[in-house]
Amino acid sequence: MAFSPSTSLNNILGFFLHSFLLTPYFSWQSSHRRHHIYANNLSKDHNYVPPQRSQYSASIFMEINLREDLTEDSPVAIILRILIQQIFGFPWHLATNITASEGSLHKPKSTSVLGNSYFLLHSTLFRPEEAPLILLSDVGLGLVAFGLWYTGAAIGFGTLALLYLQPYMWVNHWIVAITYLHHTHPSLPKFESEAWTFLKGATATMDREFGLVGRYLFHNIIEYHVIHHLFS
Amino acid sequence: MLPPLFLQNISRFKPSYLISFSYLFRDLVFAGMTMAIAYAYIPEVQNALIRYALWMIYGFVEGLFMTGL
Repeated sequence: MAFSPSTSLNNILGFFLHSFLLTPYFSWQSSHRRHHIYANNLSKDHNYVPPQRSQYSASIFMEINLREDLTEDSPVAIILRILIQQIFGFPWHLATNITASEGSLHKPKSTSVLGNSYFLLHSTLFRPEEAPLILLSDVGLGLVAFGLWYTGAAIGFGTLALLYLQPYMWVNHWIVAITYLHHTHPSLPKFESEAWTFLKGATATMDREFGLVGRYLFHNIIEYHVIHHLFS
Repeated sequence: MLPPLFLQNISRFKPSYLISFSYLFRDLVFAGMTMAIAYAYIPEVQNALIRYALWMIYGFVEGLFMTGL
C-alpha cells in the first residue's frame, strides 16, 4: 500500500528513508515494479526464481541426485545455507541481481563484476532511459556513506559499527527472511511463461504471521503479501 | 477465497496523509530515541559483560525499528 496519494511525496520520502538504510531507492523501484508485473513467471520474474534442476546441477558441478544424497536435510548444510543467505543475501542481491530470471533482464547477462547490479547505470537490470534515476539512487547511497564515514571519524568507527552496522545487518536479515518466506513455500507453484497469468502469479505468494512485531512494528508487511501483489 | 465486498473496498483504498505521517513519525522517534539512549548510556556501563549484552540487545531492537521504517 502506498504511503500517500501523492506519488512525488512518496518518492521523496522513500528516497531519503531507503538511502538512509543504504538501499538504492529508484533502482529498487524499477526492479520491484517488474517483479510485480511478472510475479512467479519463471522466465520473466526478478526475485526468487529457482533454477531448473539441470541448471542447478551444472552450477555446483555435481549430479543433482548425488548432491541430494550427500547433503539433503543435513543440519550442517542447512545452517550454512541459512547463515550465508541471511548475512550476505541482501547485499549479494544488490550487487549481482541473483535469483533473477534471464528473461527479466534488458540485455544478455553481463559477466563483468557489477554488470548485473543495482548500482551501474548500464546494468542489465535497467533500460537506458532509467539511467538518471539510477544515478540519483547512487548519489543517495554515496551521501549516506559519506555521512557514516564522517560520523565514524567523529565518534570512532567501533561505536559506529555498534550503533549502525549492527542494526543494519539485522535489517538485511529481516528483508531476506520476509521476502524469502513470501515467495517460497512447498505448496506455491511457479509458472512457465505459457501457463502464467497475472492473477495466478499474484496469488501464488504466501502470507505469514509474525505476531506483535509484525502487526505493530513492521506494518503488516508479512501478513498481507498476497494483497500487496494483487493491488499494486 | 476473499469475499467480493472486501475486494471492492480494498481496491478503492485511499491512503491518509495523517495516518501515514503519524506512523512514520512514530517509527522515526522510536528508532532515533533508541539510538540516542544507546549512544549516551551503554558506554557508561562499567561491567564489560553487561555492556556487550546491552549492545547486542540494542542491535536487535534497533534492527526491528529500522526494518519497520
